[in-house]
Amino acid sequence: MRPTLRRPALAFAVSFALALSLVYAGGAWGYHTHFVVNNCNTNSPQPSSTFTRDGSITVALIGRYEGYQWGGGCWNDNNVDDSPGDPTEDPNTGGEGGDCSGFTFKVWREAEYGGDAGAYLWNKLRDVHGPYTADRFKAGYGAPNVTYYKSGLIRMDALASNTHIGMIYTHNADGSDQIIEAKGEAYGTNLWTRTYRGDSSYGGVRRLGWTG
Amino acid sequence: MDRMRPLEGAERMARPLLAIALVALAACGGGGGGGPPERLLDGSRPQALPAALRSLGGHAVVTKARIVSVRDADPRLRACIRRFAPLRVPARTAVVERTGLLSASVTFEVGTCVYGCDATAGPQELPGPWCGGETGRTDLARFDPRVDILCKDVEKRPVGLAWVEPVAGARYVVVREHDYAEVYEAASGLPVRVATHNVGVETSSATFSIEQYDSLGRRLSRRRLRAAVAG
Repeated sequence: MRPTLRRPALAFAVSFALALSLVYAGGAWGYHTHFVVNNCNTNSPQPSSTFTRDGSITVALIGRYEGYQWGGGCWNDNNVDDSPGDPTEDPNTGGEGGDCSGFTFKVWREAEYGGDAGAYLWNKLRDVHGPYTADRFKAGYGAPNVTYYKSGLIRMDALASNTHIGMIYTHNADGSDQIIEAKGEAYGTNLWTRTYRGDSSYGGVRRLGWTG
Repeated sequence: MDRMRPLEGAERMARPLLAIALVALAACGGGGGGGPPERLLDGSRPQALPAALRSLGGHAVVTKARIVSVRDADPRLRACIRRFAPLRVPARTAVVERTGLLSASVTFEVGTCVYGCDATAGPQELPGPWCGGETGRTDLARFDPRVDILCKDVEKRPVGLAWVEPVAGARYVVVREHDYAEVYEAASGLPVRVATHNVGVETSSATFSIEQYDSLGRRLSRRRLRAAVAG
């Protein structure tokens, strides 16, 4: 009896090990989509003498549906997250999308240097996050950014907490807002109805210098 | 842990910022000869290198660290805490205050988040004497160093700041710069806020050459941390 029992046990063990290795191999493939390496660039941004809130909405909508990457800032425009399921909070996974502050930086056309209040058009495939965290935006840090009273916020102003920032797409009649934001790996970048304006952990932030 | 001197000398951290900047200017001048600056950011002289770290040589500078409680917070610490409003910080919360060559910092933990503020010899963020503040979550699978590259030194060069988690058994975290190293003592189980001039503005990142040692001077780890601004 023993030899008969051993063979199935051995077969099971080998199958299990094989299946396990395939599972891990699959995970590894998912981990490294190489999106940034294969698609993104480090080209210089274009200085822009005019930039409007409508123009920045267009920039933001290009990033919509393009995923989320912690510390990221590069995406295409195919309305698909090309790096789904990246491990969270790892800036080295090189996936598609921005994080909340990187997305805001690019949509607000800010400069790499905090003392520069100019406007810069960053290509969607330019891999850039910028120097600001959500916390820094909340504090109104950087030459073009100021804190602003929440009831006065309008389209393309932002609401920021110590850990997150989203920009106002529209203000709803019920007091909530349609917010465009890079929310997280599981959610991607999209428009959602939020009540950040009534949340005491969120403050108002305005980018200065709009020409329209 | 006599170097920590908990709850002593609170007035030192409350020095007027102008004095700090002036002394830092003098300290930077002293560093022009290729060795480490002779003074810490607050103008004080660094303590002697612990015997266990003698192998690091004469270019290692011991930073100051002490633990205070929020109950005994000075105006600077209170300004930092206000920055995180509406956060409520219990009075018994331990705060680690550090003063190094490039930066000073406070770090404390409330719930599942670590909070901190940074000061350098460059411009301050208003309100308060700090050039920046940060919030990091401790309940994530991967520790986030909360890199900041917006603070500047007295010559307006960017200073990179990050939290480093001491590895098990580590007493000292050493950050090597081009011609000197800063020695930070682990305290209160909190991540250690460290500084570097090795900042990549174009990549929104900073790179730290980090070594960690136990109390006997045995090196436990050595790594190059390239961390990016995120979140």
